[in-house]
Amino acid sequence: MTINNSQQNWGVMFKRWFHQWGSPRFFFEKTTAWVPYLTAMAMIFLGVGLGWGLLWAPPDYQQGNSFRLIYLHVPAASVALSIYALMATFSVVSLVWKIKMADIWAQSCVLSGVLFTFIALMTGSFWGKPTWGTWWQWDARLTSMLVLGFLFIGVMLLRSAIEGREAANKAAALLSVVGVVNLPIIKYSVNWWNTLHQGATFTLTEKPPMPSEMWVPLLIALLGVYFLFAVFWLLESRLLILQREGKSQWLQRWITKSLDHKG
Amino acid sequence: MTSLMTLRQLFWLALRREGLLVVQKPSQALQPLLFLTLIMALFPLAISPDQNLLATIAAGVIWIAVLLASYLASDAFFAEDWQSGIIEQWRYAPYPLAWCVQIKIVAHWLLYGVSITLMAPLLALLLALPWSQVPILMLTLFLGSAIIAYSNALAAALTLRARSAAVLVLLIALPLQIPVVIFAMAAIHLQAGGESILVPLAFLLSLWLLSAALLPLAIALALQIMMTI
Repeated sequence: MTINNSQQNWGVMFKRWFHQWGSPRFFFEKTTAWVPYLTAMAMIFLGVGLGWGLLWAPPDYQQGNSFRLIYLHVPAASVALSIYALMATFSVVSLVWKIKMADIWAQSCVLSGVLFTFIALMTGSFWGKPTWGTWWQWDARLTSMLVLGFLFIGVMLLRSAIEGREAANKAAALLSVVGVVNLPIIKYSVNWWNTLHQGATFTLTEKPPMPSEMWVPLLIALLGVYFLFAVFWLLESRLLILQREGKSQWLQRWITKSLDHKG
Repeated sequence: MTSLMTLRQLFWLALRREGLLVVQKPSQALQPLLFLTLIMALFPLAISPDQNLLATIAAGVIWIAVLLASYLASDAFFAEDWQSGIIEQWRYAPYPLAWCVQIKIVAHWLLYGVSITLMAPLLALLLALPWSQVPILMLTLFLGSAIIAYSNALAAALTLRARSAAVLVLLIALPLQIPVVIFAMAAIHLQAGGESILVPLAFLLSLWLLSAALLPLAIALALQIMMTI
């Protein structure tokens, strides 16, 4: 009996939690206080990670100082992939449960996704010039990353091209889900193609096991970039709520209150 | 009481309708094929008329041209049925929307895929592709055009209400077609090198089955989304 009760309570609590966060008002009011904290975390982690990595970490014995680009490159590439997964998850939630906020959350991922994919490709290119001797190489990873960029841009443009917000959001969500099924297939086939065609024209210098002075700052920078994305994502979600719910009373009150606050 | 058609009867009836639509407007159906031939003429003019050079790039060039021509055709894939309200009818028909979509895509593939495959020897002739590679080129085009048809149909459905669809169709369809191009070209290269083509062909076949099974569902959902206000 008691077990049953507690199970029910958990169910009820989860449902309530789900519905609370699905409401734009709850989300907006709850997260107002989070923005400065998240920004501070991002600044601290990025400052420490990048500062340490770029200034104090020892140079690589084969690649010299150009290896330092990984402190930007690896976090950007990693967060870009995570953003796609997150966007697809929100898209599934939006398509299946038709929750208004899930559309907003998915939409808030896209621009950061394009940005971080772009940063990863740019830094990879700058690193490739001294290391491989070329700005661009049709390497399996580079190609997959480029396709990831196309997927993000496709979702972004599709949403902006369709008139009617409902249809635009749903279409973008569907495209994200198709993309997330497609990504492993692309990744696999591109790997297969690459090994078939080029074999040993170049190999990444066989990665020496990194000393901790190298990977600790990398880990910190990685966390910093994830926090930075969280800030971007939250700000964009809040901006979208302002745009969509701007006429509702609670938001009007919030706007006048925060304007009063500023004097 | 009227009895419903079986899905198989529906299939043949809808196939016949697609065929009749093409017969009524043959110029529209011929456009992609003409486009394909025109692109062929550009490559020797732009790169070099050297037969050896052309022979090495011919298969890839034909594949790229086929993809480009398919985008041209996909723009109008659902447009007419959308405007005339046929798709709205499908929605209220007692048959699954995905099945209606499936039939339309199969019909499209039978028309374009087969005609492009039959055109391949002519295109190969223009670009001096060795005759030994023509059968495998035709086989990959036949299989590949089916997968292309599914992904283009998805792009066409998603962009039905989009303002400027041309680039969007490419952005949506291309990532789905990258594996197709990779495996098709790999089969051609492997065969030219005298190696076994079993692996890439198996991949092409499985991609075909995968898209035939899953994409009609996604396309049906896309059409439903487009019908919401």
